[in-house]
Amino acid sequence: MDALLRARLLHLALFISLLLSVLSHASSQELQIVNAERRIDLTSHIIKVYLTLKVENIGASPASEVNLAFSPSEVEHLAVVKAAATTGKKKKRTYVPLDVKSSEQPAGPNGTKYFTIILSNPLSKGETATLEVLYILTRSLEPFPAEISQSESQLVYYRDSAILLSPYHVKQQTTFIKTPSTRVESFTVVEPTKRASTEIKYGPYDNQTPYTYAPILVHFENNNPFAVVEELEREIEISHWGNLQVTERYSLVHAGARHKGVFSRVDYQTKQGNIGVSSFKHLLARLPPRVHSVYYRDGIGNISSSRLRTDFLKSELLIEPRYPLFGGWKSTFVIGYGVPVEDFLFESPDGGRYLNFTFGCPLADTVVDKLLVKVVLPEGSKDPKAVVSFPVEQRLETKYSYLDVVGRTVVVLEKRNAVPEHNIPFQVHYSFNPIFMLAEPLMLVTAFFFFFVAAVSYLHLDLSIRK
Amino acid sequence: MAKLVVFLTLISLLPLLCNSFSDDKPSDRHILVLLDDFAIKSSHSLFFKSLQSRGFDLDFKLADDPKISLQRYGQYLYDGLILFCPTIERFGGSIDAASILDFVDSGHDLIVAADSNASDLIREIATECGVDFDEDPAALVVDHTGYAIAATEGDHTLIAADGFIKSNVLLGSKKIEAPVLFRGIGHSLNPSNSLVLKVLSASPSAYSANPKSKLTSPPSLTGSSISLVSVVQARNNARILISGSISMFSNRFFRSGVQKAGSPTKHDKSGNEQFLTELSKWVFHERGHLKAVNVRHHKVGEVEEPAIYRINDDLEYSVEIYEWSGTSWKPYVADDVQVQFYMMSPYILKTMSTDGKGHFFTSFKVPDVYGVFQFKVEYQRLGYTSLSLSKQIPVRPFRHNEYERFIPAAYPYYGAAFSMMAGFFVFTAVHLYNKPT
Amino acid sequence: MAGKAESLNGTVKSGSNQSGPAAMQASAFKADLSNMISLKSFKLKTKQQELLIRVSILLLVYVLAFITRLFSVLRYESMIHEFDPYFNYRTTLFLTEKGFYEFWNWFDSESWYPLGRIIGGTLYPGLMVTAALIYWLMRFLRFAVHIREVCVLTAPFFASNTTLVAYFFGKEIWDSGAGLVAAALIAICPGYISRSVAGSYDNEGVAIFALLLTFYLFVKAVNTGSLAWSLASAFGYFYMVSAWGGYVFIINLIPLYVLVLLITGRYSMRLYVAYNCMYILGMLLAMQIRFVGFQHVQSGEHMAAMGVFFLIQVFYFLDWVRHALADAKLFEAFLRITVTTAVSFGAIALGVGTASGYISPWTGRFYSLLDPTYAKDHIPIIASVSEHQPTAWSSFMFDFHILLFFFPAGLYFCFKRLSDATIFIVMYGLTSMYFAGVMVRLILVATPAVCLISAIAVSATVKNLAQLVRAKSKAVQSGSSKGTSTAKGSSKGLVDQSQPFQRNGAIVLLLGAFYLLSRYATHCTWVTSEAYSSPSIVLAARGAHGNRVIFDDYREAYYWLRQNTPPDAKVMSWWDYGYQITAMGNRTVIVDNNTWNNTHIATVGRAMSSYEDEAYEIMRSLDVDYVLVVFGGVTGYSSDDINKFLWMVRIGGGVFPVIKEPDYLVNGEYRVDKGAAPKMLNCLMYKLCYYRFGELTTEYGKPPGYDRARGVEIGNKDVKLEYLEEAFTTQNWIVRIYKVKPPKNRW
Repeated sequence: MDALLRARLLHLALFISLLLSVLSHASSQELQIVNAERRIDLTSHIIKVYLTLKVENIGASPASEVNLAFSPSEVEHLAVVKAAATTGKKKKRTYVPLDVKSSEQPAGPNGTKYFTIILSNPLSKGETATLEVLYILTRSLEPFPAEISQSESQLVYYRDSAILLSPYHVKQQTTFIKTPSTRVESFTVVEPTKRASTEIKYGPYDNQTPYTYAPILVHFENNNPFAVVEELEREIEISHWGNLQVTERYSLVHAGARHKGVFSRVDYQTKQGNIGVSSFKHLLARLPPRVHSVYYRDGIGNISSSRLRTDFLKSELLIEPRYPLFGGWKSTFVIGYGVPVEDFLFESPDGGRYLNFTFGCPLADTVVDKLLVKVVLPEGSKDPKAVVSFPVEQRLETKYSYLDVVGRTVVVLEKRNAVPEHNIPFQVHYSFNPIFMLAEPLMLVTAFFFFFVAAVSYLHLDLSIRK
Repeated sequence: MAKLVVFLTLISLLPLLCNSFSDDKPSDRHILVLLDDFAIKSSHSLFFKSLQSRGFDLDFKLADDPKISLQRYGQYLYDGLILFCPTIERFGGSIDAASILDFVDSGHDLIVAADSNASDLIREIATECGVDFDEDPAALVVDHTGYAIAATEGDHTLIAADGFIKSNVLLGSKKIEAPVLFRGIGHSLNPSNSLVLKVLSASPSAYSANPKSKLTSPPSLTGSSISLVSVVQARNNARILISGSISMFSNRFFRSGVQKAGSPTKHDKSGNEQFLTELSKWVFHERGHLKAVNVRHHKVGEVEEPAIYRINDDLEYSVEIYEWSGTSWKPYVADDVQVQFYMMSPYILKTMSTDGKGHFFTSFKVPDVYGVFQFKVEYQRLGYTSLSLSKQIPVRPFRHNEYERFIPAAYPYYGAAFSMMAGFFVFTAVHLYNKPT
Repeated sequence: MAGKAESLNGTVKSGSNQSGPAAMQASAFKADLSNMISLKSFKLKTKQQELLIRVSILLLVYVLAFITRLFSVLRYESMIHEFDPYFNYRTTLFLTEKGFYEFWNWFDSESWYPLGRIIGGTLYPGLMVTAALIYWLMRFLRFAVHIREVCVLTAPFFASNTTLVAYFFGKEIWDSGAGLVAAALIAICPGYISRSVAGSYDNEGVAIFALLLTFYLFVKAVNTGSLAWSLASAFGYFYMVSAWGGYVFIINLIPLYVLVLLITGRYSMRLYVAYNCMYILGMLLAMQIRFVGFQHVQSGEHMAAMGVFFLIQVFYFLDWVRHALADAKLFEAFLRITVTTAVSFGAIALGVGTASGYISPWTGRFYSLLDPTYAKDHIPIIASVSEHQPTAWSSFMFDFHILLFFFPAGLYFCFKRLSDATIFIVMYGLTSMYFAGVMVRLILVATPAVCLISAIAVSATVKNLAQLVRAKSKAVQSGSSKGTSTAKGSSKGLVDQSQPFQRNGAIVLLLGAFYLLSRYATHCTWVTSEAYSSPSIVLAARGAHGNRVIFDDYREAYYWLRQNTPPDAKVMSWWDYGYQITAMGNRTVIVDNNTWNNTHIATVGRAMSSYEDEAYEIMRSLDVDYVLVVFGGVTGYSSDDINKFLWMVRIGGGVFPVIKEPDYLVNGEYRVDKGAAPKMLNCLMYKLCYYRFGELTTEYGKPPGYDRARGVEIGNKDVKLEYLEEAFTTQNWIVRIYKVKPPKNRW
C-alpha cells in the first residue's frame, strides 16, 4: 500500500512543480472562473462535493461547454457528476439541469481527466454564468490506522487539493470541508486555513493558475457504517397475473478499518455506545409501497431479525444481519418481496408495455460496487428495450422458471460503483401477447385430463392373462 | 497553532514513509537510539558511524524524553531500536517494557546494552528475552586469568574474551583474531528458552561478583556458563542482541589495543569493532536473512498444481530460497534443506537437491495412505532466519474406475458365471421340450 | 366428502386433523356397510362403488399423512432439522451438483481432519439418490424447486407412500378393511412421525417405507409363491439396504420367520421359492452397496440368513428323498443322519470361519441390541447418544397411545386365524417390540407392526359389532347373508333371539371404539405439533409476556464461521456439531457425528477435559484454528457442552487413561459451582464456557455469573485464557468460538 502511496506523493509533487509550466489546451483559454466555492461533505463514507462556479467568458468566440478536471485517483472513484445552471438572486433562484459527459479530450498534465458541462445557451464574450456542480466520490476515505480493536473508534484519511484543480484561471476560491465530528487528528495547513468545530475552511485563495494543485490530507474520526455492497443482484420478475416478484441478493461488507483482536460479547452487550462504535447491526431498506410477502434469508435459512413498517407512500424494512458487522466482516443475504404489478407496469401509447421501476440499491446510504438489475419478462414477450438515464451495460439472457418451455427473456443492466443518487426510475419496454398467459394453465389442464383418462381406461380393461 | 498542526501532519505522514522490513528489502532503515545522556553519542560514535555508513539513519533521543514514541496509529515509526540506557528507570513518552516487547513481537530488531547496576527495567526486558542478569546489581564479571593487561592495573574486571560462537553467519566469514574487551555484568541464559544463543561467553575461570566487596558466598554465575553477549532470533525472525556491557561499544574499547593475560601476542586493536559491527549487521538483517519463494508441486510430467493427489501418485516439489546479502538477493546454497510430507507425523522426509541457483527440488511417491497431508519445509540453521513453509494438500484413494480390471485371479468367477447362464439356458430348453415319459 | 375433509386439512389448524381419522373410521365403516345395501340403493356396481370409496379414503389418508407432518414448516420454516440430516443434505447437494460418479468416489477432506473420510464408501446412498432423483424429475418437468425444499419434503412424501404400503399389507394379512384402518393409523402414529416430519431428512424417513415394502412383498411372495413377487421383495430389500443400516433387522427377521415356519411344519414350495429367490438376489444386490460389500456374506449379523438358506435346501432335499424312497423306517434313519451331519457341518463351518476371522464377529451395536447393558460398559460413544437409551414406559404411551392396548387384542385375532401371513406379522410385532424396549429410536421400527396388528383388532371388532348392529335388517333379508369372514350363517338364529341386548351392547361398544380412535387422533395431532416439530437448531421459548422468543444462535455462529474465517480453517468442537459446522459453516472439522474413529474423538475429548496448556499441545498437533463450544448458561439451554462434558471425559478416558472421571467429580457428584473439583474448574471446556461469564448478570436478583442451565453461581469467575482468545460469541451466548493463538514469539 505504501508503495502506491509513495507513487501518489510523487505525482502530487509533479503537480506542484508543474504549476506554471502547463500550457493547457485551447478551449480553456477563453474562460475563467471568477469565483469557485467548494463544499466537501465527509460526514458519511460517501463523499459529496458541492461546487459552485462563476464562469466568465473572456475569449472572443462564444463558449458552449465548460470543463471540469479531476485527478486520475478521483476519476476511478467518481460515482456521479451532476451540474445545473442557476439564475436569479437568493430568493427566486432557479436551477436548469445541464447534461455532463465525460469528454474524450486527451488527458491533461499528469493524466488529468475532464468532464464537460454542455451549457444550454452558449456564453458569449464577457458574460458570466453560475454553475452548481455535484459530484460524489466513493471509497476514497482511507482508514488509518488500518486495523482497530473493538474499543477504538475509526479514523480515516481524506486526500484532496486545497486548490480546485481546474483547466481555467481561478480568480477566487474557497473550500469548506465538513467532518462528522469535532475530532480531527490533523490536517494539512495551506494558509489561510481556519478550523471551526466540524468545519475546516481553506482559502480564500486568489488568482490561481490552471492546474494548480496543493495536496492536503485530513485525518479525522468517522464512525459511520462503511456499508459497501460488493455485489447486488436485483431480479425483477414480471407476471401478468398481477404480481411483480423482486429478489435481491446482497453480498455486504464493512469496508472500514479492519477489526483486530478479540470480539468480546460481554463488552459489546454491556458497554453499548462506546464499544464497537464503527460497527453496525441494522440496515434500513426502503421498499415500494403495498409490498407484500417480504422475506429475508441467507444461505442457511431464514433470518428472524427484521421488521417491516409499511404506509401508503413507502415501506421500510429494518434488517439485522445475523451478527454485528465489524471492519472487514462480510455477510451475504437475500431480500425478496412482491408488489402489485399495476403499480409498475403500464401500457405504452404504441400498444406495447413498459415496466417503470427504481434502479439502485434500496439500502440507505450504501455503496454498490457492482449492481446487476435483471428484469425477467414473461414468457413469450418480444423486443425488449431498456431506458436508463445514465450509462449502463446491457445484455440479454434466458431464464427458465415454473413450467417454462421456451424460457423467459431477461434484460440485464450492469452498473458499477452505484450510490443512492442512482435510485431513480428506469423503464423496460417490451411487447407481449396476452394469449401466452393461458399457455401454462392449459398445459396443466391437459396433463390432468390425460391422467384421469388413463386412470379410467385402466379401470375398464382387464389385463389378466388367464381368462 | 498552525505550525503545530503541520508538525502533527508530518508525524502522521512519517509512518507511511518508513516501513518495517519488506520482502524486497529486509534490512532495517530507521533506528531509534535511546541514550542515558548525549555524551554517549560522542563516546560511542565509532559504532554509530559504522551503522550510518551502512545506510541506517539513526534517531538519537534521551531515554526519558517525554515525546518519544515507537508507534503512532498502530504503525511503527522505526525498524530497529538500540537501548544504550542501562540505568534508565522508566522511559519517557508512551514507551515501556511491554511496548518494547510488542515492538519486537511485531518483527522489529533490538539491541540492549546493560551494564553493572543495570536498572530493573532493562533487566525485565532482558528476562523477557530469556536472559537473566546477575541479581547483584554491583556485580561485574571478574576473570583473574583471562583479563586484559591494561595500564591501570586493577581488579581484573576488564576481560579479554575470545569465546566466540562458531558461526560465520553471525560473526562474518573473517575470523576475529583479537579478543574482545569487556567490562560489565554477566548474564546466564534461561534454559527453558530455546531461541537465545550465547555469542560471546566468558572463560572457564571467570565468575560474576562484586569486586569491591569481599567474596563471602560462592558466586552464582561462574565459568563459561556466564554469557557476555547473547542474541535471540524470535519466531517471527525479529533479532535481539543483549550485551552485559555498554562500554564495549565505546570508542575507547574500539581503539584500544589488547593483550590477554598470559598470551604473548599483543594486538594493537581490540576485536570489539569487528565483533560488534559484524554482529550488528546480523541483528539488522544485513546477513543471514533467507526468503523462500514460489513453492510449487505437481505430478510428474505435469505443470499445474492439482487440487488433490491420489495415493501412489508420483509428484515433484520445488522451492526457491534466496539469501539477502545486504544489497541484493543471492541464491542460497545448501545441501541440507529437507521437505516433509506430513500428516500428524512425517510420512516422507527427503533432502532436496539444488542447482546452486537457489532452486531446490525433489520428487517422491505419495504414500499409500489417504488424508489431508502437508508439504512442510522446516529449515532452521544457526543464525539464519528460520523458514517454515507448509502447504496443505488432500490425498484421495482410488476412484471406482482406477482399479485394475480383469485380473487373472477372477477368471474362475467369470467362468462360473457364464457356465451358469449357459447351463440354465440348456436346462430350460430341455425342461420345456421333452415330454416326461 | 373427500373435498370437504381435504379443504379442512388443507388449512392446518390443530384440531382440523382430528376430523381426519374419525372421518376415516366412519367411511371405513361405510365401506363395509355399503356393500350390503348397495343393491337396492345405488345403480353403481358394488365392485366399482367399493373401489371408489376405498380409493377416496386412501387418497384422504395419503394427503393427511403428508400435511400432518408440515407443522414444523408452519411453526418455523422450511429447514433441515437436527444433526444427521445436515450431513444428508450436504451430500445430496454434492450429488445434485457434481453428479453420481463424483458422489460415489467422494473423498471428503473437510471432515475428520486430517484423516478425511471416504464419504462415497461410508454412507447409505439411498436417501440422497432418492431426493436427487425427485429433484431431477421436478427440474425435468420445469418445476423450479430448490433442492432444500425437496429434501425437507422427502420424509413426509415417503410417509404418505408408507400408508399405501400399509394398506396393501393389511389387505394381504387380513382384509381390505384392516388395510384401510392400518393406513389411517400409521398415517398419524407419533412413533413414526417423530422421525418423518418435514425437515427431518434422515435415512429412517425413507427406510421405514422400504422396510414395510420389503416385508409386504415377501409376505405376498410367500402367499402366492410367485417368483415375480419374491424378486420384487429382493429389490425392496435392495432399496432398504441402500437406505439404512437397519436392514440387518430384515435379514435376521425373515430367516427367523422361515425357521419358525419350518419348525411348525408349514414348509411349502411357496416358502422355498420365496425365500431362496429373495435371499440370493437380495444378497447379490445388497453387495453392490459399497458400505455393505462383503459384510453381507462375512459378518456375523448375516450368518443366520445363510444358515437358514442351507437348512431350507436340506429340507427340500429331504422332501425329495421322502418321495423317492417309500420305506418310512429307512427314511427315519436317513433323516437322522442327514440332519445331524448338516447341523454339525454348519456348526463346524461357522466355528472355523469365526476362528479364521473370515466371519467377522458381531459389532458392538448389535451386541448392545441383544444386551441392553452392553453399551454402557463397553462403548460409551454409543451410550452417550440419548436416543440409544432404553425406552421408558411413558415414551411407549406417548408414541403409541391406545395402540398399546389394541396391540395384544390384535395378536389375539392373529392367533385366532393363524396363517403364514399372520405368523409373520406376529413375529415382526414381537421382535420389534423387544428392540423398541432396548433403544428409544427403535420404537420407529416397531410402529408399523403395532399399527398393522392394532388395525386388525380394530377392523375385526368393528366388523363384528357392525354385523350385530345390522343383524336385524339382515334377518329380514333373504337368508343368504353376504359372506362375512367371521359370522357364520348358522349364527343367525342365535342373533335373532338375543337381538335387542346385543344390538345395544354392540352400539355402545362401537361408540366406545370410535371415541378411543378420536382420542387417538387428538393425541397424535397434539404430540406432532408440540413435541416432534421443533428443528433443534432453532430454539423457541416463551418470553416474559407469553410471546414467542426465537434463539437462532447456532446459525448465527455457523454463518459467522462461514463468512469471516479463512476457508481452510479447522474448527474443533464436540462431535455433535460436526455435521452442522461442515454443512452450514462450510469449514473443516476434526470430528463429526459419523463416529467412525473412536480414538480421534477421544483426542478431542481429552483436549476439552485437560488443562489449557496441555490442550494447546493437542490442538497444535491437530492444526486447530478455532474451538467451538455450546453454552446454555445465559439462556438456560440445558443440552449444552457442560452437561455433555462427563461423556467427553469418559470417552477421552476410555482411550487416554490420563483422563480420570473422578477428577471431575466431587464425591461422585458433578458440579460447576464453588464446590466443584479443581480440575473441573480449570479444564479447557470449563474455561471456554465460562470465560468472562462472571461479569454478566443473567437473572435479576441473582449474583453475576449465575448459570441458569445449572441453576448455580459458577465457581471460577475470573477465567484467564493464555493460549486462546475469544473470536465470536453469539447473541445469547449459546455458541462461543475461540481462536487458537500462534505460539509465543520469544520462547
